[in-house]
Amino acid sequence: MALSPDEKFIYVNPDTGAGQFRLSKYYPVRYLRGLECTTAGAAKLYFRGPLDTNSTQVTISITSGYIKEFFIEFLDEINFGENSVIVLSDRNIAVDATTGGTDFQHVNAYSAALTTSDSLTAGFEDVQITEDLDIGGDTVMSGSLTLDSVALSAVQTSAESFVDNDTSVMTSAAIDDRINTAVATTVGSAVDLTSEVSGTLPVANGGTGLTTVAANTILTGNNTAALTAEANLSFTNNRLTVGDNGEDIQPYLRIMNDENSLELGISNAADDFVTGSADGDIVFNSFGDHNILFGQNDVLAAKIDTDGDFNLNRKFTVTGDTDGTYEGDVVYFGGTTSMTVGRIYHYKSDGTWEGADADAVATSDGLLAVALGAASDTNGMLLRGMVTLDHDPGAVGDVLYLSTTIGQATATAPSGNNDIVRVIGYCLDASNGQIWFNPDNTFVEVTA
Amino acid sequence: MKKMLFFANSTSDAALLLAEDLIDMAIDSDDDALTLSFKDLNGKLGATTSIALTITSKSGKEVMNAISEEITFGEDAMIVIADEINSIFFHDDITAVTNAIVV
Repeated sequence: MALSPDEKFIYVNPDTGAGQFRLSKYYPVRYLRGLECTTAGAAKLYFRGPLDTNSTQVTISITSGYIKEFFIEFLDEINFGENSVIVLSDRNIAVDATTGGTDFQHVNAYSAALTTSDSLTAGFEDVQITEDLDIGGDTVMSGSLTLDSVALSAVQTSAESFVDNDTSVMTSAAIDDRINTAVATTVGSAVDLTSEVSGTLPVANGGTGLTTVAANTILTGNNTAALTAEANLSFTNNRLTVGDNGEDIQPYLRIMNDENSLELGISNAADDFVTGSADGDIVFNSFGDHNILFGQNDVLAAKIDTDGDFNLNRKFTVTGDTDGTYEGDVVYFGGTTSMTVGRIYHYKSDGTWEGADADAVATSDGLLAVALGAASDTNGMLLRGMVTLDHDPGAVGDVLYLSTTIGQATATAPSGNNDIVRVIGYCLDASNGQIWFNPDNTFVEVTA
Repeated sequence: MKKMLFFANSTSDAALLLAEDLIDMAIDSDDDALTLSFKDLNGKLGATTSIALTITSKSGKEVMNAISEEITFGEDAMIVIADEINSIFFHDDITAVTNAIVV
C-alpha cells in the first residue's frame, strides 16, 4: 500500500564532515506550506514553524533554470515515492558528492534552516499578526514594547521618583505628580523675566510690546498694539519737551475741556495758531467764550476778556538808587545814541531825541521821556512810570517841573521870560533822584 | 495525493503552493485579473500569500470553475496554473502571472 504524503519526512543534513550529522533535521511533509523560487539557482521550502506561529524556511541550491523540473520531481516524490524519508540534501554534495546524496536530480546544496522572524529568545517565537489584535484578557509582557523604533521597557508610577529617560512611560498619577511639581517650581516662585522669559510682553498681558525704548522717550498707548515711543515727546530731569531742535514741526501743548481749549506752542509757518503769526513765534492761543485769567497768590492779576482786550493791574514800587532803573511804559525808537542815563529828552520833529530844556517851547513841548541807556532803540525811553534820574530834583512829595538846565527836573517852576512851566512828575526821594515821571500834556509859557 | 499549484513568472520567480491551503479566488473590479490567496507561507496570523493572474476580460468565473474542478477531480499532483517560462497556462483565458514571488 502506498504511503500517504503526510506520513513522509524530508531529511536535510548540512554537516560536511564524513559520518557527521550536526544540525540535521527531519521536516514532516504534512507541515509543508509551499515552495518558492526567488533566484534562478535556489528554491525555498516553507514548513510550519516549531511553535506554529511562523515558518521555517529551508533553502537549497538547484541547477540554475531548472526550478520547474525540481518542483515536479519534488511533488512526485512526496506523492508517489516509496520512501518514507525523502533525502533532500545529505551533506553539501557540491563538496563531496560521493558520501552525500539527494533524491533529486537538480539539488546541489542545502543551507541551514531559518525560522523566519524569530526573536531568537529561548522559549519564545515571534508572532506576526497583520490584522487588528483584540485581546479579551490581560496582557502581560516581560520584554519591551517598541513603538516608532523606541523600545519601552518600564512604567513609572506615582510611587516612584521621576526618572528622565526614553525607555519608560508614565501612569496618569505619575504625570499628575510631575506637573504639580513643575508648576510649583516654575509658577509658585518668582519668575525671572530676564532669564526665564523670552520675547516681548504684549500689552494685553500688561507689557509694552517693545524690546527697547530710547532714553527719556515717553510712551503712548496704541490700543492692543505695542506702545509708541514718541519721537517728539521726552522728559529729562525736570524738563518736559515737546518737539526737538532738529525737527521742523509745530510743537504745542493743548489743554481742553468741553467748552474751551488752550494751545501753547511755537508757530512753524505764517498764521499757525493765530492769524498774523510767523515761523518761530511763541503763541498762547485760546478757543472758546471765556476769559483768560492770570493770577498771583490766588488773586487775579491780569485778564484777557472774551473780546480779546487785555486788562491788568500794574503795581509800581519806588526804584533803586541806580540811575535809569525803572518800572513803566517804555518805547524803543528815535535812533538816538550817546544819551545820558537818567536824563529827560524831548522828541524832535526830525524823529530823534534831544535834551529837554524849559528855556523854550521848541525843546519842552510834545513828547518827553527819560533815557534808560545810551541808545534809544536799544535801551528804551521811559514815557511814564517810576524811574531814577541822574540828579536830585527836590524833596519827597515835591511837584517837579522841566528844568531850564538841559535834561533835568526841578522842584522850582521856571520863571524867566519865555520859560516853559510844565509839570513832569513828583519827587519820591530826598536825595537819590527817584521820581514818578508823568509829564503833563499842557504847559505854560512865562511872560516876565 | 498532495496537490500543488505552480506559478512561474521566470526562472527566478516561481512558486509551488498547496491546493489545500487555497483560501479564495477573487476577480478584481475591472474584471480582468484573478487573485488566488493561500495561507501565508510565513505563517503570519491574518495574512495571506497571494498571486495575481491576468485574465481575459469577463472570463474570471470560467477560470475559477476550471481551477476548482482540476483541484477536485484532476489526476495530476502539480497543477500548472501559469508558466510564463514555457508559455503554458492552465486555461486559455489566463494570459500572465504578474509576480510569483510571494515572500
